[in-house]
Amino acid sequence: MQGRIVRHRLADRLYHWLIVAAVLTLMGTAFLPILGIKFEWDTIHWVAGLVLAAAVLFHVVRALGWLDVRAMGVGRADLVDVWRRARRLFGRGGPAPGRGGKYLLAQRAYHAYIALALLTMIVTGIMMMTKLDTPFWQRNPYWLPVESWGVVYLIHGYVAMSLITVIMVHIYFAVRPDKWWYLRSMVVGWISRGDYDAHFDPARWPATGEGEAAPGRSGLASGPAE
Amino acid sequence: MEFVRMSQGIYGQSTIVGAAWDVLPWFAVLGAAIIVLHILAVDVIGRRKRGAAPE
Repeated sequence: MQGRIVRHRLADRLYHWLIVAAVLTLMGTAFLPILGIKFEWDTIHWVAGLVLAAAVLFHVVRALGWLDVRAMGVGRADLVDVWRRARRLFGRGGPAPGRGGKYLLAQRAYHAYIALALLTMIVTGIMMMTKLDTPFWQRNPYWLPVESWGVVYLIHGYVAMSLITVIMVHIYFAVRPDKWWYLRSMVVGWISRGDYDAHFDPARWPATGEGEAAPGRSGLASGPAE
Repeated sequence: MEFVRMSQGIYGQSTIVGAAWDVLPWFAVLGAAIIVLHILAVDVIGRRKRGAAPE
């Protein structure tokens, strides 16, 4: 492990790639029939939805019990950094922004949206499953009034379509040559010591002994490094 | 362009059925636009930094 910093443990990497498989399956089974590619999509769709729900439940339990949920929060240091970056972008000079916590502000914003979107999709999707016969229950299409079902379908549809935009941008940043070490860490679990030193503030994501970094806080622990 | 699919109830009233799929391609267009804008922004900022860097 010399020169390597653990960024994502195996359980978190498996969770990420399981979510990828479930979400791509859900999007394929939702949108391909709309685009004219007809097949028996509904059973694949709800089974993938249940896999997604189980994976998200696992992640929530793991995040609350074993990970530092503050790593996904936003603190004063982040706002100061945004201000400093904006000043420099427009040629106003001033102090340099600090190095980051475990997750970039953009990564935390993505996580916040994807968490909200997936929870919305899961809740509305489970509601919609009451209209299907499954091995667990018989369909009951009258569980909600017709007008309420329309709103449930409207929310499910628009959040699903928004995921097209969000996932396109996520994949773009994952495969950018200057960011691919993030993608590599989601495959192999580690980043190099050089990348750690170049991009992260040890006060905000401290590396402990044995080459492993702590779960990490983002902007909550301290002010930005000068 | 429709944003919402509507149906007529048995008493003639309009009822929301769900999202209109006409808008689906626009979400892909928005994603592509964000990507292109980011590529252009990175290029412009990179040129500016190279121009400002001392020889």
